[in-house]
Amino acid sequence: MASPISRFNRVNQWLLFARQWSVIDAAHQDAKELGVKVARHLSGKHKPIWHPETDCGDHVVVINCKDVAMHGFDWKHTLYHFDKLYPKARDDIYAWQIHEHDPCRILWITTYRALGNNLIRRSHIERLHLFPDEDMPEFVKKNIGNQLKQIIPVARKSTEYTEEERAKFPRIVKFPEDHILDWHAPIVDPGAWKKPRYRKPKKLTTGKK
Amino acid sequence: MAVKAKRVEERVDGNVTYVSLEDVPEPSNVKYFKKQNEKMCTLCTCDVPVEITYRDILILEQFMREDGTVLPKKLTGLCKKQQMHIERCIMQAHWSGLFPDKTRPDFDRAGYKRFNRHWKDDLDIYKLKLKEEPGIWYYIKRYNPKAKEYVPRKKE
Repeated sequence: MASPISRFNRVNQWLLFARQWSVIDAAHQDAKELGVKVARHLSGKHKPIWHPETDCGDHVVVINCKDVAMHGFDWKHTLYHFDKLYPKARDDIYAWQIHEHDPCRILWITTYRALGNNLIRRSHIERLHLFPDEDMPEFVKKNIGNQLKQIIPVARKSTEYTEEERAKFPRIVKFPEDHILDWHAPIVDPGAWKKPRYRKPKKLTTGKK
Repeated sequence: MAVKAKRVEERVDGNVTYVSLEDVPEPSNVKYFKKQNEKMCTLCTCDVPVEITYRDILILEQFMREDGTVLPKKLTGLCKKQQMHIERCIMQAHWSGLFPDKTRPDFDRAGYKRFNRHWKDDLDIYKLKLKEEPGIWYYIKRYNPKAKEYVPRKKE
């Protein structure tokens, strides 16, 4: 049985038929998975009243696009093949090269692909707003009304742990009594031996011609 | 206080140097994981139901030195399988930038190494397949990405 409409949840009914502006933080999120999630909200598939001909999609603002992550070494191993089927319109560009030039382009490509291969994705992608960091125009800030959840939880760095948390954490390794702590000191790199370059022995000649 | 380990101490007295092994005491409120089977390595037997990943920094730090290197198998006392697992997780944590105080300042950070990455499994470092994706020339330019690099020429 559906919940009765109270003064609290009647808002959800209004939001369903309104075009809402949602914000999501892309830092440390997988570019592909985030593209799928954002495309879902742009096309309106998160609403139970969705129909391909009903224009019920929302606006999505993505911040910190420069901090978007890829799985493993995909920055180096993903090659984007551009082709317009016209002369001189072909190119193979690595993902890190695109990201260096324009931090928002990778997320734009993944969202555009996740929207499906149809004509309506051109109007849905107009409602996507990508920003490399947290700076955005005033009208966008005023319109934002919702925040979407991140897919990948952000990992904590070693500097973000306090001393108390470190002391509270249990030890896994119990060293034996004759263990020497000096073995834990950092080892100075002795360097690598470089083979000397072969040089031809000089022929001995007299000064006279 | 219980004795944790020993430390090498040097004491110079005139022209004679005395080298000795001194006990290092540790506070009694430090907790250790219970070891069910003394013959197996600590990670195989201790009661950790969850797989150790690159995010578990407090666990990985116990097997590392201060400069970011991993302790050898003889010191950690782990079996080969667990030692390789820990080494891979530490490598993944270094790549993800989770040890900012344990890296060298002259570490090469060119091109793709500056960008963030995440890992699903510790064996992902071995998956090095080239992926070819179709790119799209169509793009809605909302801003000039090189605008901040533009420096106007100074008029004399």
